[in-house]
Order: sequence, then structure tokens, then C-alpha cells
Amino acid sequence: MQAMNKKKMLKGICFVLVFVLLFGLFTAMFMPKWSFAHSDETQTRIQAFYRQEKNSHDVIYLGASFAYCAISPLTIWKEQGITGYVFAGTGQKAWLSTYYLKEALKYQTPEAVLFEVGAIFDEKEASEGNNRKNIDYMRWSPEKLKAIKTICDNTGESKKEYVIPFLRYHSRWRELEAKDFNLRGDTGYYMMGTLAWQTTRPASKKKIKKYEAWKENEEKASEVKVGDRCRETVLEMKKLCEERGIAFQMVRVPSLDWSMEAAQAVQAFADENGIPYLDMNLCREETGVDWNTDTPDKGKHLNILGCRKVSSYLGRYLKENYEFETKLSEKNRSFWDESAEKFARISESYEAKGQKK
Amino acid sequence: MAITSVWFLIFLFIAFCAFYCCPVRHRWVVLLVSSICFYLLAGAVRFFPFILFTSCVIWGCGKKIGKLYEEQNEKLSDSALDRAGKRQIKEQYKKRAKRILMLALVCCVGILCVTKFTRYAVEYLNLIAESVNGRAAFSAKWIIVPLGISYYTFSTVGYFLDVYWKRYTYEPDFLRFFLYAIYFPHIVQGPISRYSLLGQELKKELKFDSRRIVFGMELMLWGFFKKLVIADRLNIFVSSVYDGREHAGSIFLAAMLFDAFQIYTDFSGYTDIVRGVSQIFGVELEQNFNHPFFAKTVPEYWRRWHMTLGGWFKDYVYYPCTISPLMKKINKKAKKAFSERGSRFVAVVIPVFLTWTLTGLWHGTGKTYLAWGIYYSTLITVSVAFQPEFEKVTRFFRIRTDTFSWQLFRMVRTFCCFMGGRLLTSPGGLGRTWMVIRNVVAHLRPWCLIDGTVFDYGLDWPQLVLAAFSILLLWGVSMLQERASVRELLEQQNILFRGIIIFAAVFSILIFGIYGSGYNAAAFIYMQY
Repeated sequence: MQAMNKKKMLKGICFVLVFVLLFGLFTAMFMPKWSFAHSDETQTRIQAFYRQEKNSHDVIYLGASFAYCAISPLTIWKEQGITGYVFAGTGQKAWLSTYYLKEALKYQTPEAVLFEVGAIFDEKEASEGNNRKNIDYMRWSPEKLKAIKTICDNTGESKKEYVIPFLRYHSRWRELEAKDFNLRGDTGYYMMGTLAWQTTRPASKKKIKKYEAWKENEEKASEVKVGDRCRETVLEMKKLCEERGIAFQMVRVPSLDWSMEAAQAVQAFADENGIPYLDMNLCREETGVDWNTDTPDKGKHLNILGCRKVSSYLGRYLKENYEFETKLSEKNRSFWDESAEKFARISESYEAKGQKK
Repeated sequence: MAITSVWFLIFLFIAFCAFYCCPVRHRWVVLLVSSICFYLLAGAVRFFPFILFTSCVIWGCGKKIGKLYEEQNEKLSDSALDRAGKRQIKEQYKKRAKRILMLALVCCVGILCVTKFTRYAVEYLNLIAESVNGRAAFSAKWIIVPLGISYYTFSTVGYFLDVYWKRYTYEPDFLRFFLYAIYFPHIVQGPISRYSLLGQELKKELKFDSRRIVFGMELMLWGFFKKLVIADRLNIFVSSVYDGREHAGSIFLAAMLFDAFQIYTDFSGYTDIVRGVSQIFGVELEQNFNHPFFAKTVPEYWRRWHMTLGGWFKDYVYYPCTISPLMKKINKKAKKAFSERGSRFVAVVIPVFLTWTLTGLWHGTGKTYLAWGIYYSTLITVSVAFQPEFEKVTRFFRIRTDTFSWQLFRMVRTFCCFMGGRLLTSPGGLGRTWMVIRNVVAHLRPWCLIDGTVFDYGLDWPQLVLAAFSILLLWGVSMLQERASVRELLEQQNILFRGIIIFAAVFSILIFGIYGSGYNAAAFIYMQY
């Protein structure tokens, strides 16, 4: 070490700095861009969350794709003056939602947290692709590291490849497209986490008939139960919210991928643990979802039309059940107004087109 | 802990910091501790007793022989002794030394043979047992092959034989000797180092030298490029073609070509990495490859390929065999029975066949490697024994041997001979080798190379283009290396140019390398020995 003079030391430091810079650039370039418009905007949803005005949201919506397809905070803002953000992810499991909640609470102080329970019976880890979509664009934090550890311990995936995504994505050199070189991300995002899905694929009559045959109070011997893993994570979310004086509620958005047994099991779980639960599959007249026009994938998710209807109902529900005081700055308020108008225009325009594919 | 893993780089960084933070005279201790840690991390704790045992036996026996020689010299220096008395003492000590030699060789080479060959012996015994009573009688589950056993056994036995032959004196310090045996850059896959070189390198003052460290890192980079970008990429294609199924002959030809480059870049890439690592610590390891594809004859090829193994067999098998009393007797008889040339042929053929059969068995056991040994024995014997006839043919056809085209032809011919050797072992058995030959001859279907079939073997067109470009780069750099030291040339350039080249190399490896869960870096081929 003694022989190493200052000049050589400086050269070494410069080398390391240039390497780190280039490595960062290449990592950003090689990471998949899940930000294309009106499709799976996972990357944009996460990146845009971090760009939100601090402590400006009244409600945080958590969950999987059901949540971001069905809930439009912009519609709720326009109709009820309640702000919110759908901080959800593709195929997101309940335990990942817990990490998302912890992450969200670092930046926001909502009055309520709504957890969409579409994935509450799913105890297995998601596919690597979905895990990647949920993790890769989160900011570095202990929560992110814990989420990586949870996933990798259960799936056997490589932790170091989550920590250094370049190790996983370097083989994309032959798939790079123009959008991969846009390293700033989708800065014009205004949807507040909603996926405005502009496609219609009606559900089959058989499926609709089966769904419509449910009766709310019909007693059925149900063997469906919330598993231990999801139970623990939901209770952890509840505890986190209680500690901060935030209301925690479970919701289920309309979906043909649901059953009465499931609804009853979640209700039982909610009752048992004192968590308010709103199953919108049981409020069919109030939501007014039409499975011939409001779904993009034969009833699993909702398209922009279904999203608007469900959000209207949810907005009314929130207004009736909670008290909100808008924390938006004047500048941000006008941005929300403009964005809500934009969303409404997109929705109306799609409706006017006759809900073509 | 694979040598291409992130963990190895972390291990290297820690070892590097510890090494240079330590006072110069204690640095060899850091190397010893690092080497033991590496061996335990890369292999397993259960392998460690084997290397410790071999080292203890060789060092102990070497010391014993060395002491015997010292004692003998003391007695011989007694002026009262006449010639007969001196001869008697010499005979007496020679016998005692020979007994120790046999003991050490039986112990160490015995372990090597048991670990390497028992599995195959059990397989054959089970075949016999199955044919007799319908079920296998023996289990080979208990046999383990300690990490780097062939390499450390050859290195230590080489030292021991040199002490026995009085080429140099024994090492009095066991820990110094153990460091030579277990030194982490060479333990897994060679080079098979000589004690006269590595032992002395490890004894010198290992001072900090930034130029040497930079050179070492550059060599490592080149090794990583060869291994991760070329060898592992070609491996995808080769292993996919040699899957035991029939393919078009043209596809097999492409696999043979890729296989030749794969094994070269894999093994020489490894050697470059470990030589680079060793240079970082101030220790020079022997060169193991000297651009073998530029060789013009098969013997020259083997002087350029796995040079330390070839050198070992030459010094410890071939030469001792040629000067052995038995060989002298055979030569005498051959001279009486045949012409001058015939007796010369006999003098060449026996040591060559013995050396190459053993070299074949070192690489693996079974008919495949026996055939491989016979193949090279035949090629070398023919090239040496029929040299006059070959010269006559070239004169008859008035071939100008001083031209580039003739030299190129010789290089291509040697390369084809090498591919022939690989063809015996790569497909995974002589039956498969025959299948490949049959398809190349009878079902060549050359259009498979251009109709898209070639992309069905794991490499799409960008990957194949990249592989071809990388091989061209390898060829270009090798040409340059034949003339001068590329690292010294680079050193003379401006810092900007140097920086561009180094960063281009680093990021080429990081981007184009085959690693991560998208790919699984193939284990180094020569690690199994």
C-alpha cells in the first residue's frame, strides 16, 4: 500500500466511479420497461407513486391486478373529492402488499387503507415475472430487501439477482428496443395507479348465470378458508394501520373469479378479526357492472367502463363511512382536476366507440 | 464457489486486502490461509483430509529421502573409503530411498487411482454381476473425488521425484510445502506447477506492484471473456447437438468446430483467470497454453496445449521410460532384429504409446479415453517415424514449403487432427462418435446451416453472430500475442484509449457473458480431472 502514490490512487478511484456510473446506466437500460400505455403499467405505477406530493393522499388501495383494474382514484376525486393512489402490482400476493403498505406509509399519511382481497386465498409465491414487476422498481429500502428475502427464501430465486438486477437482465441485449433507452421512465403518468383497460371481451352466459345465482344470505357449507400466511400478513397490515391511527378495510371488487364460498370465508375472517369488509360482488345493483360490456377478459377483471362504475360506488361508500379532509396543495389540486377530466374523457370516448376491442 | 462467481470475486477482494495489509514476510501465511479457506469453500470439508494426507506423505517422504542423501554424502566424504565401499554405500542408500519412493507413490498415486478408477471398475463389475445373477452387486456411492486431486497429486509427486532424482533438495518447512500443494489459483484446474518454479515464487518477497496488479487484472478479464462470452456460449450449441440424437451431418460438423473452440477457450480462459489472480499476489504461474491452434504439427500442438501436463508426462514418464534399463534392452534387441530405422521406430513407439495411454487415462477412463490415447500415439508416431516419406511427397509434388498457404494448410491439418481427437470424447461414447461420423458422411444436408435449422440448438442468430465475432477477436488477439505482449502494448497507450478498451472489455463480459439464472455458466470442463 505504501508504494501506491496519490496519482495511482486517484486513477483507481476514477475507475471505480466510472464503472459504477456505467453499471448504473446499463442496469437502467437493460431492466424491462413495463410502462407501455394502457396495458400493464407496473413500472410506471411504482415510479409515479414516488413522485406523488408527500402526504397528499386520503386513501391507499393495495392488492393485485383486481385493484388497479377496478379502482380509479380520479373518478372518486371528481365525484367525492377524496384523493387516493392504487399502489398495487401484477399478481401481487398479500405478503407483498404488506411491504407495499410499509413503503407507502413512508411517503403518505392516508386516512384509510383499502386492501383488495382477490388474492387472499393464494398462499403460493407468484411467478418470477410477476415478482420482478412488483420488486424491481421499488426504491431501495429495508422493505424492499425484506420483500426480496421473502420471495427468494420461498422460491429459491437468486437474491443477488434481485439486488443487482443487471445480473438477471444482461441477456436482454438482443431484445433491446427504443423504449429501453428512455431512462427517465414514464414521467407523464397521471392515472394514480389505475389501469385504464380499453378492451371488451364479454363473459360467457354460463359464467354470468352462475354468478347471478349467488344469494347473499344463502348458507353454504364452505371449506374455503383464508390460509395462515395471508391471515398473518393481513393482520400485520391491520396492526400497522392501527398503530398510526389509519382505518384499515378489506374490499373485493366485482369479478366472476369469485364465489359465494370465498365471499363468506373472507367475511368470516373479517368478522373474526374486526376488520370492515366490503364485497362489491354482493352490491350488484349499486355498482351496476354489466358483464357483457365492462370486462376485458371474460369476467376476471374490469375494463375502464367497469372501473368507472365501481369507483363511483366505492367513492360513495368511502364518503358515507369515513371522514376525509383534503390535503392537496393548490397546484396539485388543479393537476388532479385536469387528470380526472382526462380520465373521464378517455372513458367516455371508449364508451362512445361502442366498446370495440 | 466457482471461479466465475460473484462470491469468488468477493473472496478475492478480501484475500487481496488481507494480503497487502500484512507485513511482507508474513504474506505467504495469508496466502496459505486463503488457500485453505478457498479449498474448503470451493470443495468440501470432507475433501480436505485427502490433500492434507498427500501433502504430509510427500513432504515427509521427500524429507526422509533428502536426509538419506545428506547422510550418504557425509559417509561418502570419508576419505578412508575405497571405490567398492562407496559403491556399496550408494547401493545401500539407493535401496532405502527406493523403498520410501515406492511407499509414497503407492500411497498418493494409489489414492488418485482409487478415487478416479473405482467408479468405472464398479460399473464393469456390476455389468458382469448383472449378467450372472440379474442385479448389480456393488455400489459406487461411497467413492468421492477430492477437488483438484489430479492436479495436486501430479504437482507434489513431481516435486518428490525431483528430490529423489536429486534435481533439487527437499523443502524443510511443511507449511511452505503445503502452500505449494494447495495454492488456491492452481488447485482446481492447474497449471500443474513445478516446485522449482512455484515453490521459489512463493518464497520470494511478495511486494506490492501496481503495474503487476493491473496486468493481472487485465489477464483475468481476458480469461473471463474467453470463458463466459465464448466457451459458455458455444457450450449451449455443442451440448444441445451432442445429446445422443441424430442430427444433420452439417450440424455435427458445426458442433465439432464449436467444440474445439469451446474447450480451448474454456480451459485457457480458466488458466488466464488464475494466472491473473496469482499475478495480483505477485506469484507467477506457469503458462499452460501458447496458441495451440497456430501449431503446424500434432507434436507441436501438444507442446502448446496444456503445456504443464505435457511437460509433466515428458519429464516424469516419457524420458524415464526411454532411459529405463528395460527400454535399453528392447532397443538392443530391436537393433539386432531390424534395420537402423526399424530400431529407431521401436525406440519411439513404446514410450509414446505408454505416455499417451497414461495421458488418455488421466483425462478419463474407459474405452473412449483409451481410444483417444491410441489416436494421439498413432498420430505422433506416424508423424515422427514417417517424416522422410512426408518430405519426399512434398518434393514430389513440388510443394513450396516456405509459403503462407502451406503453413496455413499445416495449421488447418493440425486443427482437424485435434477435432478428430475431440470427436472421440465429446459426443459421450464411441457409439455416439460413430453416429456422428455416419451422419457427416451419409446425411450431410449442408442446407441445414442456412435454412434456419442451425438456430434450433440454443443459439439464435444474434448469439451465433456474437460467437463468430468473438472467435475472430480471439484469433486477432492471439495473432498479436504471438508477436508482442498485448498488455505491454496497451500500457503504452494514452489513458483515454486504455480506459475505453478496459471498460469495453469489462462491459462486454458483463453484458454478453453467459451467467445468471437466464443462463447457467457451464462448469469448467477440466475441473473434473
